[in-house]
Amino acid sequence: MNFERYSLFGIGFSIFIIFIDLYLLKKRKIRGGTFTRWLIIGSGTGIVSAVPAVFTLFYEILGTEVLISSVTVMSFMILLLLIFYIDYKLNSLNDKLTKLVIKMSSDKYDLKQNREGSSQHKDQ
Amino acid sequence: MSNSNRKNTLVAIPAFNEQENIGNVALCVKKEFPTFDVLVIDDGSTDKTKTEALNTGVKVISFPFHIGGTAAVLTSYMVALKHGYEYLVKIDGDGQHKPEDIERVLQPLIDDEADISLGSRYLENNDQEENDSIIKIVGRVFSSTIINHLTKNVEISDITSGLRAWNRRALEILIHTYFNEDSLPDDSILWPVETLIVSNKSLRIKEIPIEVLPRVYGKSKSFSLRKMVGYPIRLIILLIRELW
Repeated sequence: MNFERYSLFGIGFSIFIIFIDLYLLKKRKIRGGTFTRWLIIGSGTGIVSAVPAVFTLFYEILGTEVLISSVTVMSFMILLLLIFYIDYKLNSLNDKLTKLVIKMSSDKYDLKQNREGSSQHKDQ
Repeated sequence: MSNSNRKNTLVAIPAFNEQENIGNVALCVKKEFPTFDVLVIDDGSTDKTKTEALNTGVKVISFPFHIGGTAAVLTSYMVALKHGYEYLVKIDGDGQHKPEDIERVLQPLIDDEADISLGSRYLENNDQEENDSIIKIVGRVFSSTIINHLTKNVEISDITSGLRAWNRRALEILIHTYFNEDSLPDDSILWPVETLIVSNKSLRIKEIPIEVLPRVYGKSKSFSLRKMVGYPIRLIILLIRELW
């Protein structure tokens, strides 16, 4: 099976995304939902790169003159990497926020308990 | 000393939008175990869950917004540890658990037979399985198979049981493990992940047969299409992560 250079580039890019995704999962740095999302995106990119004929469907629906340019491909890849990074950061912030809320809620409960304890002490 | 007279037990009731059920659940637990401390963890409910819980006179922690079941459960661990409770019991806020089962679930911890005790719907109670939908049965068999495959010394019949009890040792190990991980488990797989930790840390776990009542008010939040699709995917991801 002969692949064009752009197909190989796309497949390499999708393998890169899936690899990073698996690495972050292994290191327990992302949640299952984020992993699944990027596994699907990475696999989708790989399939579209390996079978570019899929694009002709859009070509026919949209009726555009040019199928896809190298500028579009590069922009798409850079955008995808940026979204991946932002998604990972959001995932990480979500976990930090959850841990913060857990700690703050239990601290708030401590204060409430102490206040109740001291008022009971005063009453006595 | 009977269990119900013990003062070193905290009963945590996580709740999200359970205004019809929470008051009754909290009151029943308080009535059944007057010496236990009862704590409702309101997970950012948009209805009157917090007010209803406060009206019963139990302690309430209210999250500023909806965070999820994992955060509510871990908060109860933190509170139990910080306040020196010897045992923590978690019961669902939807009224499906019988408060009197708390005593039975606590017993293996008091007898030092286990570090974690679970109430199981499927142990010595096949009627429960007959009442379950096919989706529920398939989900249960699927998750039990995966978790029992991943764990060496643990075999659980009801992995998602909401009636659980922990001793202090188990709580210390669990909170330390969760807070040392970069990522917390998703709500739907908290109990499977916890079972794996229990197995890896050689904690003792025991199941006690319980009966689960049908919901009186409201709908279960576990059976949305998103959750039904997401749960098996997350379990498979867990399997990949653990086997890799």
